[in-house]
Amino acid sequence: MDFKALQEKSRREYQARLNSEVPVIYVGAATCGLAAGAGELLKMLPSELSALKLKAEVVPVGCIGPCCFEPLVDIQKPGKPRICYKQVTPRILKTLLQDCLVNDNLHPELALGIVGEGPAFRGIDGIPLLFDHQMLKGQMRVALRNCGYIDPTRIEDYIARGGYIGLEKAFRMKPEEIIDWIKKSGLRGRGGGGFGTARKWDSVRKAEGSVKYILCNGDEGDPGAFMDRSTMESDPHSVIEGQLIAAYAISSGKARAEGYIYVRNEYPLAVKNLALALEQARQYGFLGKNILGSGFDFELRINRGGGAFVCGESSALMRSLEGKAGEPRQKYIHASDKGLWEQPTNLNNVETYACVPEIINRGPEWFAGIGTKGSKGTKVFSLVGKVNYTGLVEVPMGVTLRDMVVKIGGGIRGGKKVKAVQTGGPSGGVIPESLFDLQVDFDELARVGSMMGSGGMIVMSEEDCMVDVALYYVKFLEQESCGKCVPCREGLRRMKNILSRITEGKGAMEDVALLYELGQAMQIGSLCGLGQSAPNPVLSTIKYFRKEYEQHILEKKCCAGVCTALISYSIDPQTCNGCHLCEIHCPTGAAKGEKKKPHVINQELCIKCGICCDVCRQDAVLKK
Amino acid sequence: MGQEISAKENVDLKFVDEVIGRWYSDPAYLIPMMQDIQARYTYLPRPALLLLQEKLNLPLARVSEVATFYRALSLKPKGKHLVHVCLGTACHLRGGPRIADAFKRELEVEVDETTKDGEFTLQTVNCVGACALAPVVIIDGNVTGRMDASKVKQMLAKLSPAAAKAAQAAKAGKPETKAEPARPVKAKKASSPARASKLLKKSKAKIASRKK
Amino acid sequence: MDKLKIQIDGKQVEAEKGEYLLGVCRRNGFAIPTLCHNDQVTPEGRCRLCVCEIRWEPGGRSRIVASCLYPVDDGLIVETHSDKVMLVRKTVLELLLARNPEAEGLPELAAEYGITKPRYPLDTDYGKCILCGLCVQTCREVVGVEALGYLMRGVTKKVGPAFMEPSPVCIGCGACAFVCPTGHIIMTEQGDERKIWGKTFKLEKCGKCGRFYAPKFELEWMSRLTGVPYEKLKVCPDCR
Repeated sequence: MDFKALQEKSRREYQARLNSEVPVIYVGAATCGLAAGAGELLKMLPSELSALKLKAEVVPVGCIGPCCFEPLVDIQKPGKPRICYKQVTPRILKTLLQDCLVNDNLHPELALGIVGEGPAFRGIDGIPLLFDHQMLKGQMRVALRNCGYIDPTRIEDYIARGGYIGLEKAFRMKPEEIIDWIKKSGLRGRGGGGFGTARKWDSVRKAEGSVKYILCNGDEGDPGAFMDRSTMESDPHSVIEGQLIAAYAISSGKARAEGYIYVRNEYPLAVKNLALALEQARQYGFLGKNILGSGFDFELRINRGGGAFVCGESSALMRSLEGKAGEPRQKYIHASDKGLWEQPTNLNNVETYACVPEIINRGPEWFAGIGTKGSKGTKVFSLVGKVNYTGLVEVPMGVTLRDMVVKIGGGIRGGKKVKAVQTGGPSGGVIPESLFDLQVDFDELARVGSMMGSGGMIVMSEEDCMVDVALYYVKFLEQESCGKCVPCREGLRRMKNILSRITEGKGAMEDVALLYELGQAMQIGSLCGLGQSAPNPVLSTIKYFRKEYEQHILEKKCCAGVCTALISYSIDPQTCNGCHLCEIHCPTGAAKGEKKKPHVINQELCIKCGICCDVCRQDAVLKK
Repeated sequence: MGQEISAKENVDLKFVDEVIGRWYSDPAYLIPMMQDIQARYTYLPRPALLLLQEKLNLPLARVSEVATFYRALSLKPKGKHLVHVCLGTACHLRGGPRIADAFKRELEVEVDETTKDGEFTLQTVNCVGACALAPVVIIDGNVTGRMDASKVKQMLAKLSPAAAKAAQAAKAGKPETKAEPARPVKAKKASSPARASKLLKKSKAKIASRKK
Repeated sequence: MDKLKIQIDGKQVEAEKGEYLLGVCRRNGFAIPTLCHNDQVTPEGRCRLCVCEIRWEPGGRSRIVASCLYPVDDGLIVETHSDKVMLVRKTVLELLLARNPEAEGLPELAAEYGITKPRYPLDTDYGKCILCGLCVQTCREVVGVEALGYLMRGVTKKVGPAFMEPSPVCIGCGACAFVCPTGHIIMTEQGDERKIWGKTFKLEKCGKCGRFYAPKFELEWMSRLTGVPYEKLKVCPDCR
């Protein structure tokens, strides 16, 4: 089937679904949705529908972003727009099927909003538009343009919404012209480095080699970040198309090209959906020989990570692709000259590739018109931690941190005070509330001692301890260090020991000075980016929250109530109603009391597991 | 000698051969090959590794290096049930370590260890990308978000051999053997989002009234 | 071929295109400490002791690079003992000394940089191995047997034969013990037996002087590799 015919067929089918004469039920079935319980919903739908004698189409879709409201189920009744319902439990689903589909009660109180699609959709009384919701209003969807709308297992859905038009257009351009467009757009790498994408493509194009490798970094190792997972699961073709355009721009007329997508081992659904997408792309001639009649050949394969954060580093990723241990290499000679198998190699992040088709479709000026002077376009962030609205958000570069936390994030859960935002994962730093008016972009974040990283944005409140946060990242990196060079391997271990002592109340002020010195040495002496950026969380917490370090050391206090050695649990006799729950759940028998009388925690037996606090319904357990 | 080891460790060398072929017999795919072998045996049996070395013409030192470098690969057999507690940043901030501690206590193992009866292996994982639903626990590939340390006992009870027997007995219509009664508890902290929004409203109201 | 001109610690020197900075420095009399470097094997930059501070313009931005791996650029300005360089070297030596206080030669090298008492508790369970990797590289690149490799990663990283078990391919040549800078690798001989990495080798007697000189296994390997009949190899290096 030729592309035009495929486009017509796809659009017809997509429109038919939007105007379906039977109800269509969309279920958010990405990993976040499944983690919230969407799997159960998908399992029960067929029997529930037949019990109600209803015919309906069930479409699994990816993640539309507001994961805190998952499971998300959209119901599109014939003649009515697609309405997204939030936090749908099996009971609520049954209610919705009965009331919405059989009767006419659309349950506005259970709805999150109307998912707008197509040229004309009518609003409904009492149900706002989804994208008018506080969390979604300031967003601009470029990389996430299809996520949550399409069925990721159907290439036709992708094509119906404009998929592969960018590729077709690119084939009519000269490779140098494509690189020029990317340069004009100002696209910078979205994986963390922020390196100019056009510059990278250009140097790989100019490098000498009989084969050029075009790689996609899907290793997203930053804990707290899941933008790439969502994109790979919910819209795999956006990545494939972007990588294809890159392959053409870099290799056409110069050398043959081979492509790999390296996906983290911990993302099985992403691997599954990508593999399926690749199969379908091959079937329809978007991969293989003479793609779309252009004369360009390109094959793309998936390879999987083995559970190593360091394999997100480009040279370690390439060693892993070669079937070796993921030890990075000193990169005085760039991968663009000698990378995978010593050949010129281009490596870009998932999100970077996902933006490319839109830049080709809409032109570079459109992309460059969004964002700030040094950082063009949009960025996907995973907004997590202590905010009310957690999930994936895509905003133009330049949104302030305050807007991210207060407007989009909806403020801090439980009405607590915000303390800081951590960006850039283990390579980044914390940014205190006093600096929240900075505009989020590559250069601003670097200026305050953090970095953009892959987009993880972790909001911390007064209940988070900055020393504990520093220790957390150091522990993480110590486990993930490849161990090749001394400053990183040994430096992280010693930093961990020092920070542990501080959280146990056994620290000294010289420790802070030593951490600082060790951090400086690691930043300049380590072999790769992991070791070089490892001190960032430690150095930035010392810089902005020195008081907390001093409190732990000099007063042996953890004001956030986190460091177990420095806190104790007790029961307020005024509030305790003697319900006995704490005693039932206490693993050591420390919480005891007679029924209906105030209970007491025996400090000698208490191991500070915090379960009593979890189960108490009276707020009677105090943490000091 | 190879044959004896295979018999002892019960490795189907034809399967290993098939895996090698599945990945183009290309040593660059050593890691996916090992992952596929481990998916079947829960670990990397030595006879399988020796066959990989032979068929791919690799030094054994390289096979050994790759098998021990990557956290997803294991030279030790795992238990019947795999418990992964996510300790990514979001999960850490929302009580992940306490949940890991609860599993350690209940199962009486350390991380990366298997219970003596071979039923459970406890591991931690650094972020599966469900951060908005932290804290997250993955048991046998099933991801559960909004986890709570107080739910751990219940969860394990459902998977225990006693529970499995009871489930089988129920299916066969026989009278159940009494399993440990797991008290259903409604934990206070946001284990249900509805609860969370109620709490939020309550505390917002508290703050508002304080401001007045 | 045109020579590159670079400046090291104020002195103008020449270099060839593609040369690594370490060799240029040493050739011109500048002392650079190393632990993981050996001319016979590919440099890997593991120990970081050889770092130097480089600039491309006077007063311009600087960079710390591992000189064993940095290919010199024309016009490079190099400082071999700047403050930043000293910070890295001192830190590395302090960390290593704390980890391997018994490693041969390490206390002396650390003392040269003023490190005698590390500010970290001394380890006792890492032995003498500083993970320089020279044994692994020598076995792979010089001997060509590749009996040694790394195991695990990060702080649990170790060197040794596959799975830390006696290696089927190790020929007992002892090259790894020879190149090890700290005395970690132990090779013992008693009578007609040699032991290394947990493997015992029967030694061959020299046809001329009767001394035990090399493992039979090694000579068999050599014979296979070179095509020279085993009998012709039964002469020790001294008697040849």
